[in-house]
Amino acid sequence: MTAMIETRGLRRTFKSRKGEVEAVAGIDLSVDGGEIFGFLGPNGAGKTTTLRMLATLLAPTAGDAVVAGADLRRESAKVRERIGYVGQTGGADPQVSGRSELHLQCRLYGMNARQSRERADELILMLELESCADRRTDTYSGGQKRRLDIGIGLAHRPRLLFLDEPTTGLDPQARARMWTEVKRLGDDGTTIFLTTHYLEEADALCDRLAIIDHGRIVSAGTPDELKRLVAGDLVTLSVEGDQAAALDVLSGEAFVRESSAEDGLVRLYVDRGEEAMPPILRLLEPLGSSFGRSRSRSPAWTTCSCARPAIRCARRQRDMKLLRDIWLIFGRYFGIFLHNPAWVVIGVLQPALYLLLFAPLLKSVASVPGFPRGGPYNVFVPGLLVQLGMFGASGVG
Amino acid sequence: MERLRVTPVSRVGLLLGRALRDIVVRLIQAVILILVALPFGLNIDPEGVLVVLALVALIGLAIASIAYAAALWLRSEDSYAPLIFTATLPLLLLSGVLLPISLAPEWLRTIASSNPLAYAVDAARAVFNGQLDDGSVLKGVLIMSVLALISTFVAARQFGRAIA
Repeated sequence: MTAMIETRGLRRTFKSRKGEVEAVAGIDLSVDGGEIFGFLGPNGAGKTTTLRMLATLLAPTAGDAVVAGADLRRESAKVRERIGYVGQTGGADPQVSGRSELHLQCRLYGMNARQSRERADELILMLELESCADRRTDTYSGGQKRRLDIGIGLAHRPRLLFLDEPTTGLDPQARARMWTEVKRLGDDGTTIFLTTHYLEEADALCDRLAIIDHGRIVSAGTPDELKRLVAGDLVTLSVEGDQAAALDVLSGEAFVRESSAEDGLVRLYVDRGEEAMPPILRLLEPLGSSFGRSRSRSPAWTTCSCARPAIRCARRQRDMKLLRDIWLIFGRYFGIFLHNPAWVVIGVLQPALYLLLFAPLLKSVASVPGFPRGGPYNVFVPGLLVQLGMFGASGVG
Repeated sequence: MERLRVTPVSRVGLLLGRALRDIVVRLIQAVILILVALPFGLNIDPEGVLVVLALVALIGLAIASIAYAAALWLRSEDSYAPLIFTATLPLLLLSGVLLPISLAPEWLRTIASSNPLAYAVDAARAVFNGQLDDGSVLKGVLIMSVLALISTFVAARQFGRAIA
């Protein structure tokens, strides 16, 4: 079975004033179709960066990946057609209604107006957004915004859905509803890749998860395997190889209160079990400790060969799509504008006032050289029109 | 806008769609302005109106593309507005919009001659003077077309390169 996501050596470096920061330092992972896969780690571990790379929002600085059957670097447009993405911050435009956002999303993925309308109705029902669907999204509660974001991500029924910290910032009730929703999606067969820093969430939702810290996967396995090792604040590790060395490395750490080793097991008393896991595993990595195993599989690359007629046809399809996209985007933003016609008036008001106030003044002055025709208005209006062209009233420029 | 970037919508389509909206808005405003000025004695032929509207559309396209490209390049909200303002103010002053450049000293006129918008203003003034076949009209339209083309091209490349 080909994996839904397969990465090899994925890296991302950010340049800042202080130098280079390697947010993601070589990620190898494999996610199967139909499973809910979690990325667990503290804030800053590189979870969101990895997710954004896989969702084609960020270019990797190194490494390869195949997402939903398309190469991430070379076929990113195809990847975008097949995935859904729900980011940490909402993407919905604050000035439009939820229904309108869902409708636009459907149309952007190629559905016609009728299909989009029906799909939007379907999603609104499914996500219980009937009460707010026709209001502006800036009037939504946090939970409603999140549900709308999920609707937007699911509009085109993607096989793979990316969820970035789905319940961060939600109250317990909203969080429980989100968990139910995610589990239902998983049951329906959607592959889900989510990031979280809540251990309970990874435990409740994920079929498999990978723990990430400092840009590296420290370990991967099922939630049960993880739970077996963290009982209260006692962390038990089975260490293959030199237990004494493992003990040495760990007991020196500040968060380890007490440690002991016997029968191939290393026991640690730590301040907070969940938070201790990533650093522990990272410290033990060079020593070859065992806790689950990171799966590595050689990826199957697909090669694409295009016949000549196919290229020509593809080019024309691309041009049609471009025109359609321009129309859809124009429609969206012009629609917002039509709902705020005050902008039109304000934009014209300034030059109109200038005109009405100063032109009569100039009438009394001797005629401006080089303008034989018309009164002072013929002098000012062209200039004002150019100024209008430059500034308009929409806030651009 | 980020959520739109994950969709298959083409980058160029995103840029041009927004730019088109800006252009249409400005055309509506231009028409209103002309209509307001007519009863006060504005004298212009219908072909002249079309040429002027075309000019406004070209200027709008050029400026919008530059603005969106700058917004992408800068990435931060705070530095965007001051930059746009400081960049466009001298352009505006040197284009002859507020006062005819013929009244300015020699050295200022030389600087203004390198400002593409100055030609647009000359063209607009010539149109309003009824001199549609005057050389400056053609020059203005041509220069603005070239500017619009270049800035749209650059902005589209910028949009396309901004992500994977």
